[in-house]
Amino acid sequence: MLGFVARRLLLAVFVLWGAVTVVFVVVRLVPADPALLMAGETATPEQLAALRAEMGLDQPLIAQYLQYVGNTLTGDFGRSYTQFVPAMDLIAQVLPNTALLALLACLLAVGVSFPLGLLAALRVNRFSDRAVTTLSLTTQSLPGFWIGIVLMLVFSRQLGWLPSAGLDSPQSLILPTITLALPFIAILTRMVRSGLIEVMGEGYITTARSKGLSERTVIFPHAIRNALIPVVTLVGLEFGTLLGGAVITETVFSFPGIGRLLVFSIGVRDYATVQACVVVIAVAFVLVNLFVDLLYGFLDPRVRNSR
Amino acid sequence: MRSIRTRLMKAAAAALMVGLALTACSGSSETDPPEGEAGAALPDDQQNLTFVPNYGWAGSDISKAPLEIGMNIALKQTLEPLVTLDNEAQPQPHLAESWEWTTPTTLEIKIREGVTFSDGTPLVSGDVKGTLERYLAQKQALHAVLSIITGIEAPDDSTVILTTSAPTGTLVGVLSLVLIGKGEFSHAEATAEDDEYWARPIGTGPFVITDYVPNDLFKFERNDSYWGEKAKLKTLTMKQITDANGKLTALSNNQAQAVQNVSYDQFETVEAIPDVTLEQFESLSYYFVWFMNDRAPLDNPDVRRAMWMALDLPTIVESLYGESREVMDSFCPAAAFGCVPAENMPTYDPEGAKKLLADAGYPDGFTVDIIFSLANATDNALAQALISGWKDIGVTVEPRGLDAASWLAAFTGMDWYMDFQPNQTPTGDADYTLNRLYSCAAARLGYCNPELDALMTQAQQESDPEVRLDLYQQVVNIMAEDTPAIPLFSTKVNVAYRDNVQGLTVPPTEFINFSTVYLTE
Repeated sequence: MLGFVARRLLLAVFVLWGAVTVVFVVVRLVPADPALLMAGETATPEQLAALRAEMGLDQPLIAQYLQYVGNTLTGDFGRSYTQFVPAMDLIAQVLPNTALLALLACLLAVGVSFPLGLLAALRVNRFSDRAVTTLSLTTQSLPGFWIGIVLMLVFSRQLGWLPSAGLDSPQSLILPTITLALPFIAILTRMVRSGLIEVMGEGYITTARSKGLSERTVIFPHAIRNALIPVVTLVGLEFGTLLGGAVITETVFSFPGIGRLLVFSIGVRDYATVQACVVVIAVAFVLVNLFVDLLYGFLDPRVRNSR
Repeated sequence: MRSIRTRLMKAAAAALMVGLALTACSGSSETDPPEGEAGAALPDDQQNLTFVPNYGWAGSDISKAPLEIGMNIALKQTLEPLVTLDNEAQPQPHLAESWEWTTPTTLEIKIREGVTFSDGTPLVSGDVKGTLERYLAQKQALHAVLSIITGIEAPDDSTVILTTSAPTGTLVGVLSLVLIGKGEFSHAEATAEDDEYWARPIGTGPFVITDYVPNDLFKFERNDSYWGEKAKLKTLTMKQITDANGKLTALSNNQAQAVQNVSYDQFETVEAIPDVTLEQFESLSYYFVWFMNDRAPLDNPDVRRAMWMALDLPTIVESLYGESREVMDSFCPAAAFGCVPAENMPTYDPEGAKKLLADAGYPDGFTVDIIFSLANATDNALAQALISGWKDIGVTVEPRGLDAASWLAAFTGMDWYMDFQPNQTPTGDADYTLNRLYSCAAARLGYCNPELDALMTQAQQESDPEVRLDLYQQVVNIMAEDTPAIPLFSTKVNVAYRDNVQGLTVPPTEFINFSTVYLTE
């Protein structure tokens, strides 16, 4: 197990280094001068030169890269030129909001899709199965921004039941959570259904039944645990994606999260904040994946024993 | 434009009379909102308003971005200037009780007595001195107009003496953009404590900041120890909602009571929302086309004039923006002091334009480019409308719509024949726009006219408003003749608000004073 964990940690470090490097390269490929953006159109050449020196942009690329990696390791991405505060401070303010939203969306998705998937799998090819499958496919086909706008128009504008923007109260979380969760529910329901149908055809299920165990006992400890393994992976990946910023949902609902911050920062070319956001998102994604990998290894001994 | 100014004066006078009448009729205490015709004021604990501004915030330290409209709207609820601009863009006393030019280069300012910060400490001249020193040290956008200050003295607690490098009649107006903070946290060499204070300032204004989340919201509470008439709102929230649909939904479900700058194509939607009013106000924002004046064929004033005459601006503005924009008759917005109508502005005349081009040696036209930022969604349509007009006189203009960063690089690199963009005159004075952009020293569009420079310098140094107006009349007349640019249209600012919002008005600066706003049943 230790070897498995060590391998995964090493891989995670490598992925993070890759993400950090890609961010560095891409930001420098963009045809814009961060110093000019920061100083504005009225800056004199002397002011620009001083700012470039202050930002290290007058250094050779390799020196910039080494300094950038060093700063990244200490969490220092520089100051946001739009807000005049360290970029990490901006992220620290909004990341908990995104994490809460992602967690709620995952909980909602898991809470809804498990019973639905189970129902479909246990009544395969019957009306309830077809209904759940059709509904899942339909929901999965709808773009997230459209779902968000429709929910907003119905529940905020027409009915006036829920807030349409911001994070002023717990109610503010309802529409963004549903918007994020709906496509996830669709995928997860289908995954639970197909996983359970596959597992129910396995030999050990037949054995369990032949031992005279009740159908409930066969399903819940035996079938469910094995059907859960790919589902856990999916939930983990999706949670990582959501942590990375539910960009569209946060923008539609003006939700103060990392996705909205990233969109805003890209729009104004706030490179320090863009870099910080991307690296934080990469770290979150890698950590969640690492956790899922370890959990996967815990759930399935074949995984941790494989090389 | 003079008629607009006259209307504004009449409106201001009427508002003043209504205000006086309301005050006279009201027997309520200072913080109680008056009972207007729209219904009784809501109880104090329900005087909570959420406003969705049109502008984002570049942080919360106004000294680092003193020309940002969004920051001024927010921070001016808490920090106050020495003077404010009236609707004629003339400075009026605020934290300064009076001022006097004791010599052509010495301005003596008397600080209002009895003013306190919201923590109870009195405002003294040292606060003004420290604030000005901080603003000057930041070298931000306002630095260019403040840098004529060569000395700041505070001989006693109620007097500030500014020494300037030259006579500067515009300085008092510029001080309306300097928001006064505490002197103990304001130094030329900023300390960490200074920056911390300015990021969450304690001011003398009618509200105190209770929360600030970057890119999201400002929250304020009434300053119950305010030195002037206390705010009627108990709390004020300024909330960023960037999605147009979300903005209107927030207004319709009463999550927000007022939203700024609804786009023209949404006017009908807003007007269909029950109990909501949409109102438009004149502003200091406008659009222009710039020529690269030293680049052939645009180095010929007749060619530039022909380009202007090719544009049917009233039709373009009407078809793209309706009443939300207004064709200009000067080189800066009419709401700014000194932006008087030019007497010889070119008008739409495509045949005349063709003749000018032919006489200038371009009977078959020519090809140039125009750059513009894609940051503003409707600018692409505007570019096409302009290009279509120029095509009719045989000039091919290739559009170069660029993302904001690339546009800035191309613009400052002067890599263009023509450019169009929005602009503002935040000081409310023609000097800021005309002298800053069109002087020889500006060197921004290859335009230089020493005669114009002399007039603009004279206008900048002059203190007498009448003399200044005469000088600016000469300035804009020369500019209309030289045609270094085409002023396209001024932009109106609009606010959609629920009908129970009273006292909400938007001055040309767009710096809304929320202390007079209140909610009724």
